[in-house]
Amino acid sequence: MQTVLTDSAGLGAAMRGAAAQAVLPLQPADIEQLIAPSSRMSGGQRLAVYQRGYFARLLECMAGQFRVLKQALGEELFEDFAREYLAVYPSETYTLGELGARFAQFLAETRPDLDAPPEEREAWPDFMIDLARLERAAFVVFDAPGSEQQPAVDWSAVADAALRLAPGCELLRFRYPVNGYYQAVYRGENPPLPPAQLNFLAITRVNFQLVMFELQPLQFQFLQQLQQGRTVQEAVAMLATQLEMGQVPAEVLWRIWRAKWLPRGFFVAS
Amino acid sequence: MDATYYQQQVQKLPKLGLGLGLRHAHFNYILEQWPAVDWFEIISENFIDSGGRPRYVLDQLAERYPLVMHGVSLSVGSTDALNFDYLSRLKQLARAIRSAWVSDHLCWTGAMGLNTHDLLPVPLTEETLAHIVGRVRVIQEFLERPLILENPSTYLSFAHSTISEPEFLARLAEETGCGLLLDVNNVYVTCFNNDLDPLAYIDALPADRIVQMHLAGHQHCGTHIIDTHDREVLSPVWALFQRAWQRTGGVATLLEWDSQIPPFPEYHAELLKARQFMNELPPALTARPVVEAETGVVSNPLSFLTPGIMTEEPIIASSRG
Ligand SMILES: [Fe+2]
Repeated sequence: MQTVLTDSAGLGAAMRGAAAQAVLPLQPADIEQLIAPSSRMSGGQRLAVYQRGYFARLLECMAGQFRVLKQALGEELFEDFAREYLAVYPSETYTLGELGARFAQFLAETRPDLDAPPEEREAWPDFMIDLARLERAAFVVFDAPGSEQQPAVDWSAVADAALRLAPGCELLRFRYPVNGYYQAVYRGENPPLPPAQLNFLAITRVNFQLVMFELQPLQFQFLQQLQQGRTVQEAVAMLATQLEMGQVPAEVLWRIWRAKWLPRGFFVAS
Repeated sequence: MDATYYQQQVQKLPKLGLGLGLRHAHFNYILEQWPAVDWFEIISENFIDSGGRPRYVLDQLAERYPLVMHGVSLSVGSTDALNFDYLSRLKQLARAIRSAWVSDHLCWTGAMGLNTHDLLPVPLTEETLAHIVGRVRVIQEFLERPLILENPSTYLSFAHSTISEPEFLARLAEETGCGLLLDVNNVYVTCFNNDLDPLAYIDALPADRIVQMHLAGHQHCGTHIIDTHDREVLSPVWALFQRAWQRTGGVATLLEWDSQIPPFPEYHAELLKARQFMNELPPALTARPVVEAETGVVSNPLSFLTPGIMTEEPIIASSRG
């Protein structure tokens, strides 16, 4: 029953399909032997109620989790992609929170110009994949364990050596300025698809609210060092070498960043 | 522990009064107004993994209201192994928020590792009864409390079923000591879809095992009824509620509304209509149902299950540099 329900091909085709046949080799006519008719519907018609419901219900969930992507792709195209996604990567867990986890990956795997050399590829799939990554990341950070319930920290008393990147701080690198697009859609606008431009973003959470913070490439690299487990000192040293600016200017730069990032939930004190 | 032990636990469960489902869209209203609702029911899966605002809000509500956990992923009828990771998360949350009880549905949601996130019907046979009895016992031992199981809305029945649904539930309760959640709207939907008499269905259930009732709206599609949870309760369902209220002596009752969710005061007002129908039948019972096409509506809508990270309030701050 499940194999037929979760097949996007329609009832008859789904039953004859390889997946259903592997579980239980039945023909559409056999349905009437398995499922009792009602006074108004045949067994097959009754099974079809569940089959229609399966996709309709999950598509609604996908649309809720990828609201901006849906606007960018348009309703019809979004539903086509989401339907195929659900057929290829059906849910395997008890939680709908994981439903969209592989959507960006799926879009990358199925882009129409997958076999073309990179320089000949179209731009819009890159944009859509980036957008899917951003929406998924925001969704995850919103409900991930955060540091709101920890005792308040007097940051002025916390030494650099005790700073760690907050576990919920997500660092993302995009090929398109998807954050601006995302923000505009949530303001109720209908923005045009922007031209390509590298976009570095940190997503954090303060008082259970999301903070999307656009970063300069250098800041992104710096935070990545921390994410990989390096200390602030090590990251500042890297900054000094990279910029060929020497230790002191690098320290000054870090002090400016530190003041800006601390209240934004970038760090926890260890 | 044996069935008698859990049955005694079931008998001790409180009559909580009239409750509402906790929905993300109403978080702010509840935190600001603290409305006089007797109790709230949460969808367990909404909160067992939450480390963000949903759980934070829930913890505040737990200080002020009795809470009940209602799940949709137990899959008690499935042939897949029970998921003890899921069960331990349920148990943990139930302790933390002092859930009055923990419920789910008589159904399966998936098999062979997949989850359809739907409440699929089980064949009602001796074989499935024995299978589910065994699983309920394991679940109750693990959770250290009785499980409360709800009758689902069904759109089909299996040709080889040999037991009626109320009898199946009665025997399940008898053999395991589990409690029952009687969804009177589901009774109406299931009985229409399977050509059964809904009053006879309710009368066939063991009233002393019923811990809770659900009310909800549905959509009549002519050939079948869909359990849409997207509108007010219809007259024939109030009539079933009246019968069940009389039979159970007034158990905890909850109004489900999961799609086209109205503002909180409207949702609450619809629930309070239950007071009128505890002892009296609704008027216009013989009116013909409004029939609508199935297009665009779904049974047991899911979209309310995941938090909308964007609400009307500006919860996103965007900054540069
Ligand atoms: Fe229900």
